[in-house]
Amino acid sequence: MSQLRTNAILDASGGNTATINGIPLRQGVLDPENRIINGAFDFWQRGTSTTADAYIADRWSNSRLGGTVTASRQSFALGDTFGSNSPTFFWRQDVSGQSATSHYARAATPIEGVRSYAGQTITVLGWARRSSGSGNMAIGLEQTFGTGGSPSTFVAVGAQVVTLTTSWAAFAVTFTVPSISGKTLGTNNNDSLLVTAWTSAGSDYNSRFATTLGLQTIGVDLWGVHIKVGTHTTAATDLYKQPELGPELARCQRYYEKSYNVDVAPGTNTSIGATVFAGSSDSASISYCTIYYAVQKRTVPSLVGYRTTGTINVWDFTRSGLNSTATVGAAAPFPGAKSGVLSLIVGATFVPVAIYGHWVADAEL
Amino acid sequence: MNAMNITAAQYVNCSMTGQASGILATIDGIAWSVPLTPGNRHYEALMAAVEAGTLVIQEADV
Repeated sequence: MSQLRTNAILDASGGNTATINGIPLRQGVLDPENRIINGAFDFWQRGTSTTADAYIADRWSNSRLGGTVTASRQSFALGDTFGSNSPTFFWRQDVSGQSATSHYARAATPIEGVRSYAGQTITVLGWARRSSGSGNMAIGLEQTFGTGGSPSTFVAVGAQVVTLTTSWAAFAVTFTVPSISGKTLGTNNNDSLLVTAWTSAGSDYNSRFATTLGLQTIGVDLWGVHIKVGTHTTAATDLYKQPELGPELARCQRYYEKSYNVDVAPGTNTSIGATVFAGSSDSASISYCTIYYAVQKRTVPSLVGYRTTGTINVWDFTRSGLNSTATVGAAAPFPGAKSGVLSLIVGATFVPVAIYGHWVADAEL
Repeated sequence: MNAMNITAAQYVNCSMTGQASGILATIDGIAWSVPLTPGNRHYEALMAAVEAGTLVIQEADV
């Protein structure tokens, strides 16, 4: 084998359009530099709509205060394309009724680790449109240094307004991510770089914007949000390839995993995917069910159980000819990031039991 | 990152070890088994509420 050693490969004009077998030699093609997970919005393990200030799409939350803010999964028509992609779902956030200076709405996704892109120039790219109302959106970044100890206060990198129309259009917003030299991390390993798509913002948040957005009544649709290192224009969205589903789901499951099939929301009446455990109860009439996660979690997750009928904090069990329900007791011993334990109160001591139900593990940032 | 509505919280002892093993907390209407793990977002929210004086975590049943 021979080796080719060089510091740069340029096209014939000295530019950056060189290719190998038709594949552009550009960042993002040969370097998996995008650290936004589920920017193509393929996975919605929690459900398909929320009005709460909560995660709904995997890794994406309906971050909000005041008024009515609804984030929902929407479907593309078969045959819709962006570049070489044929996407399935997109994110929609509808905002109304916001009036106070403290009100805001945004889609937000945390990238684990504030070290991400620190000191680098990056471009956040994707596609967006205005589905209702009037106004625009703004793309921003926030470095958060975690909790525990005496972490540095968060740093907002001025959000930049993206002009929207009622038609899908690519956007590209370039940021210089501040260095974290001299900063102090919290001790709880939960620092992050937050990527935000603001859809409304009261004046309390003006300091987080390069150009202010203001309060809006608007619906905003998003798809294909990703990051490329360096300065790029919207032309670079042509290079975006939506992630393969298998690896992308695994990336999502580092933060949230459940026993249900991936497209079934927790609390749904279904036995498909339920965990079945056969064991015995102890002197406190408790049986313990160990859950082994498909993907190791970011941290020890919180757990919640559901009966197959959908009732929360109840599982079913059988013992000595009795079919009944077991209360999901509480946090059980030996919680870990690779496995967790549910304690199940079965009402009798030292009896063999078979127990089944669903579970959800949440280790989000 | 998200604002959480915490309506109940109680430490829970493990019957195996006798030690506090977690907190049973109702957060946004869902009763989570929350580990005693700094960095878990539910645990962080519980501790922040305690520090702010808006939540008292009940002792474990014995």
